[in-house]
Amino acid sequence: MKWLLIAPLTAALVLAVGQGASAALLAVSATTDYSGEGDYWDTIPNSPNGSPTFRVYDYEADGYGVRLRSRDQWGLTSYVDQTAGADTIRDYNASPYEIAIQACNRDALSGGTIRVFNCDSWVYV
Amino acid sequence: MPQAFETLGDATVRRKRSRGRTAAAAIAVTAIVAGGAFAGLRFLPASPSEPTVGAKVASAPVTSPEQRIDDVWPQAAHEMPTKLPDGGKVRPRAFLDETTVLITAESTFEKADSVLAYNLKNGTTRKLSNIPTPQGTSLFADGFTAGNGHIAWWTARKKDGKEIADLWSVPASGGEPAIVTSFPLPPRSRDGLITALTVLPDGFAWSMGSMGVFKVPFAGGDPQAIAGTQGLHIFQWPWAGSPGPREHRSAPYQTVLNVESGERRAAVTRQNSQPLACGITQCISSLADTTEAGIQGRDGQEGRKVSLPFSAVGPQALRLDRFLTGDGPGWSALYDIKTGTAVDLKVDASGVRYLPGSDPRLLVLPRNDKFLIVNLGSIP
Repeated sequence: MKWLLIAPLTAALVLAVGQGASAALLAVSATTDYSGEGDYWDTIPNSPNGSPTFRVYDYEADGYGVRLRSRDQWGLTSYVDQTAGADTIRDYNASPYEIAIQACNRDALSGGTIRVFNCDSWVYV
Repeated sequence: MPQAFETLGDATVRRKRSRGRTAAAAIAVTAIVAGGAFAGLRFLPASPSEPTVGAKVASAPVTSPEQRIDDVWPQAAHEMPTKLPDGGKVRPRAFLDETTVLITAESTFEKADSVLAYNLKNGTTRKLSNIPTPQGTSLFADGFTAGNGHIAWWTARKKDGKEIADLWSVPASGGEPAIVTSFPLPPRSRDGLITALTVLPDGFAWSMGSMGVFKVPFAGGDPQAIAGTQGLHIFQWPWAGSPGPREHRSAPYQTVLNVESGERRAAVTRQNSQPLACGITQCISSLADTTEAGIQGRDGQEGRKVSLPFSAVGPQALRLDRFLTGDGPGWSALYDIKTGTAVDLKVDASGVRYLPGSDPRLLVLPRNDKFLIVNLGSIP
């Protein structure tokens, strides 16, 4: 077991960081655990080297999905969305160049606009 | 509350150039993209358990089971559509009987607004009830469960700065839903809000955050906390245990309590091993970085060794005291510790997993734009 992070952002979403099976260039250096209304934070110690795997939970049927953002060493950002609905999990693998991950709530508005809110702090990997 | 508005498609990856980035960095990125090494965040293949993160990894390569579930246990494996003919998104919730699944249909994202019965044999759907959405709703209907002639779920609404849960019930044959009871929700935390809503012969029971197990009769009234259950979560009635279902670092329900008789059972594991999954009577545990596992009764009697057919297994409940799910590269499997049978589930690579619901018999998996419905209870 090599759980490194469990990070509920609101009760509706959780970002978890763990070590993938593949060889990697990065190590998780700081992680947080936060639940929006519970004010609960936790920091789990560093991990051995590993390509981080990010698990995103959507626990509650609040009408919002989860957006997972990443930042790389060149300042580029990318994202993936977890929109499978409540009571689902989705796993993501970071590239060796990703340096930070952040999870937010996402809400699809009319006209294709996506509102991103309730963002957690950036987690550096 | 920081907010951002973006006009982006769903489930896609897009890269944005940050302001002030240097030309040198841009050249470096271009070179790496051209080389195919810069992939950013990527979906991982779907798996039905909670593997990969917190997983054990086999020291030797493990290949997928040769047999697929549809061939080995055809009576247990069914496919059903993920949408109704009118486009409503469907979610399987529990078995109503051996061949009928309680499903919900959504009108918008995560907003279930009708309860239906889906017949696995002939593919027909029968509407049982609408799902009301009270004013001030903060959480749409969830926690669907069925049994003893009732279907139940819960919703939450904000009132006077508090979040109030409403527990709803409707006859299993259909009808108008009614609120059985209402009560304040605990603060949101990783213990969850309401989990494992269960229909008992005389009422309803549920776990709530870290507050323990509560009951209410069918006729309603104030929920009653069951003494001695604080910190416990319903596993399979009358058993409740800890850790709860949302614990990601270790197997849930390592310790269980019969809330009716008071009998308490702990996990028994071999030295230097960690529980992978626990049922009511036994746990399966493994040594790190091997496929070797031990099945040990909670009564402490001598266990037995097995070789797991997976390369990765995550913390999960041992369903019906015998079934475990796990993964290998690009595949997912179901393993029966009672018979030693392993089958390939042939799920797709969408990367989506459905968390277990109230019915321990029901395993829901994504398979090529359909649901694979597994009735574990029909496996001899």
